[in-house]
Amino acid sequence: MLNNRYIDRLFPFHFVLDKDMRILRKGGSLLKLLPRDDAFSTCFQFVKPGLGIDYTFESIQSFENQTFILRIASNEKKILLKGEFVYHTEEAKLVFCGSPWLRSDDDYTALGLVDSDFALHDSMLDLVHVKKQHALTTQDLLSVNSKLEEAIQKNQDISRFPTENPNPVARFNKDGQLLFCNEAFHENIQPFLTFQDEIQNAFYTGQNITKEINVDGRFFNTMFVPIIDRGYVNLYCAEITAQKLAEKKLQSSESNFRYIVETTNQLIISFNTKLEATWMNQRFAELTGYSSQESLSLYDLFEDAAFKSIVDKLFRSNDEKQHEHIEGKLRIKDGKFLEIEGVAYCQIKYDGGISVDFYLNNISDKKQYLTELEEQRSYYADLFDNLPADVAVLDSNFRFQYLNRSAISDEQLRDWLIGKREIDYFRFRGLPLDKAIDREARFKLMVDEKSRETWEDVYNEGMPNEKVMLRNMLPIFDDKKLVYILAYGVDITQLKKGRDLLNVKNEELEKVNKDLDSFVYSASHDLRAPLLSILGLLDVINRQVQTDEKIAGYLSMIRGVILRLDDTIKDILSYSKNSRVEITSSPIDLKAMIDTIFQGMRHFLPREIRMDIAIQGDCGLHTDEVRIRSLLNNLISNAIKYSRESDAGSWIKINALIEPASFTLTITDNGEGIPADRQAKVFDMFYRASKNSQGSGLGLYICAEIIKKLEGQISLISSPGQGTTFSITLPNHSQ
Amino acid sequence: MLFDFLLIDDDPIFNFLNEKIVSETGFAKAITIQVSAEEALVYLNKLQEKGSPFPTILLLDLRMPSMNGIEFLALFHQFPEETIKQTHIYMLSSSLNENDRNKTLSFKNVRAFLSKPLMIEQLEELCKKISEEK
Repeated sequence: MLNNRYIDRLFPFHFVLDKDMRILRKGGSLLKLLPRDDAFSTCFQFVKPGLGIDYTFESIQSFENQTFILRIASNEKKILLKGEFVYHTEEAKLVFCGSPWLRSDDDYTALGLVDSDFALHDSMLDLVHVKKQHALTTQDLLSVNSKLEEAIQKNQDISRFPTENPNPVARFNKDGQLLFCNEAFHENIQPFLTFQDEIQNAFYTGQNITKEINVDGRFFNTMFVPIIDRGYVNLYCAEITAQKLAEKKLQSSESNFRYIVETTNQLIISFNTKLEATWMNQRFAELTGYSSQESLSLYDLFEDAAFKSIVDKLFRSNDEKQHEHIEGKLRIKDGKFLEIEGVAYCQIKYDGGISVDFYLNNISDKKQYLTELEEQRSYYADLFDNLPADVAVLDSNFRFQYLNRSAISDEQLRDWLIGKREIDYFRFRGLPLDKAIDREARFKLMVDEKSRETWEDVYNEGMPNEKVMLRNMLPIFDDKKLVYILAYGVDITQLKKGRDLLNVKNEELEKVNKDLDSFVYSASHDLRAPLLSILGLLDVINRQVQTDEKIAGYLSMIRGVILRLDDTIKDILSYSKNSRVEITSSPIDLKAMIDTIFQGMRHFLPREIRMDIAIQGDCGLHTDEVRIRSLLNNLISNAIKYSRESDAGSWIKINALIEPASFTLTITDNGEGIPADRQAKVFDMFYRASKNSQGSGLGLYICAEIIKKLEGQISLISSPGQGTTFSITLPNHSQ
Repeated sequence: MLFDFLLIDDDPIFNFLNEKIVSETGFAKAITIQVSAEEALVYLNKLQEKGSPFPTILLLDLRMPSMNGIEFLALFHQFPEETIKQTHIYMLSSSLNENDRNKTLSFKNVRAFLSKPLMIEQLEELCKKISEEK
């Protein structure tokens, strides 16, 4: 029997099968792989020869000198064993002599086997080692190669970085010579700039130098990086044109904003959540006297608690769209207050912070103005209320806009009337509406015709408390459009009464005047008629009865006295007429008038008197015919009465100069004349200058009165024994 | 040439004086005196009815009781034109009133307004004038 020990040493992977195909014994190394006692069929599968049949003890015995490859089925690694079955005749057993069939060293170490598990002669181990060695070398070569390729690829990729870089990149030697540059540098910078100084500076200081450059309107940030040990300087550029422009734009808009904020008339102040002022604009500082450096709180500036609640509300909202109207008093540095009005905004900052900003207008002046306006308004309202006249203002629809106290004394009623029409008032008072309707129709007509209306309202007519109001309606237009109607009423009751009284008196006076006129007329006629009868009778006596001289003398005296009495009556009548009869104006033929007057006196001439008339001026004379006749009558009769005997004969000269606006008359005689001391008195009433005077003493007084009435002038020049000249100037109404 | 005279005045003294003066002038063919305007109108009506000619010269006082001279003139001028055309009317008044004067002169047949008392020279002049016209 073969010593087991030897067999195990020679074939550490052997096993022994009995006729029932049971594994009786296993080599030590196989035991490592198949530690459990299992049947052959569960432990091994036949790989070669692969007959597709179940091997039996006998079938295996028949395959003597045949190499078998078995797969250890129960082992997870499916290890292959290669060897031969040897039949042991004495014991009638099959012994498998073989060892694992391996392809690399991983195979057996993975199986948990070591070199010592193999028989020393087993070439499999060598084979495995050779194979292993070979595999190692190849592996290395392949690995180096792929690494090399990878490195090349990597290098290529890296080298594309600078060339494909859109930013300019360049490398210079320390003397400033360009060693390398990319397309971007070549195109954009190289033609325009050199960097000698920067390169040397960077190289010799060993420091990176950064610089912003402007190339043909484009901006670049540059960095010169010295690589001392290699003797060159890398230049990296980055275009910042867009940022630069954006920045400029930002700067300009910021400066605009700043300008607006600083120059605005608004007061701007910003508060943080602690209600501290964090910023104020210049206007705010100017007007309040505070400065941004001061620590101010909302309470310092605004005493009114309403401000705090507004600010709190805005902070709570945390919403930029929120804003609140604010109005009130702002306490300024000197302790005074500004009236302000504005808006508070909630402002969320870019850093997420929040503030409340006040944008305020100083309305102190406005307030002051409004206060003054109100004072003025109340002043005028007072004035109107105390005016002793009804004042109302109606709008273009005839609705009351204003009524003063005099118009409507009851305040409630006055307030109620504002905005209402007069018809509403009539309805309220239960007055007949047709009067109000009629009145509005008159308003409309007045507005259409742009005229003013005046009428009298009579209340309690005929009663002791009768009241008369004079109403005036004055429409006020602005560029043809009716703006309002000013209505005012004045109590003219007393005036009216006075006027009525005056009218009555006037009527009475007129009646008295008329009566007087008629009385004077009748009286003069009735007084004169008997005188004239006597004169007529005297005339008859003179002509028919032969009387002695004495009686003739008496008769003549009677005649003279009667004539004087008649003259006096005529004078009184003339005076009465001049003072009462209105001035009239009619065309006058002065020459004819003088002739007629003189002719009328012809029968009473005391002696031969010559009359010369000279009239100059070809414009017509218009004046009061009756008065002029009376005037001439008096002056001519005076000249006749006071004529005197003269060698040259008695004469009267009348000169007239007629001008468009006035005329002058001179009546000159060569009569007695008037002593100087009496000249001033001749125009007085009942004054008789001459002893020879047989008149009433009214003649010249009447002349002066007529001149006064006609607004003219009369004067005289006279010397006793020479004659008298009366000069008259009177207006000519020819135009 | 002689004329028919009609004198109308309520004052008998003036009528007496005027009749005297008229007759003294020697121009009077006949002198009729009426003491009121109404009676004068009755007289004139009778003349008209009879177809007798109207007086040539009529001396008329202005102020008379009842109907005055102006009222008379208004009625007088209602006689047919043909009847009154030869009558010359002279107002004779003591009135100095311009209105009276102007009113009467506006009547067609009134020739002049004479102041009382009537003077013989004045009347002679008028009569001469009228004779010359005819």
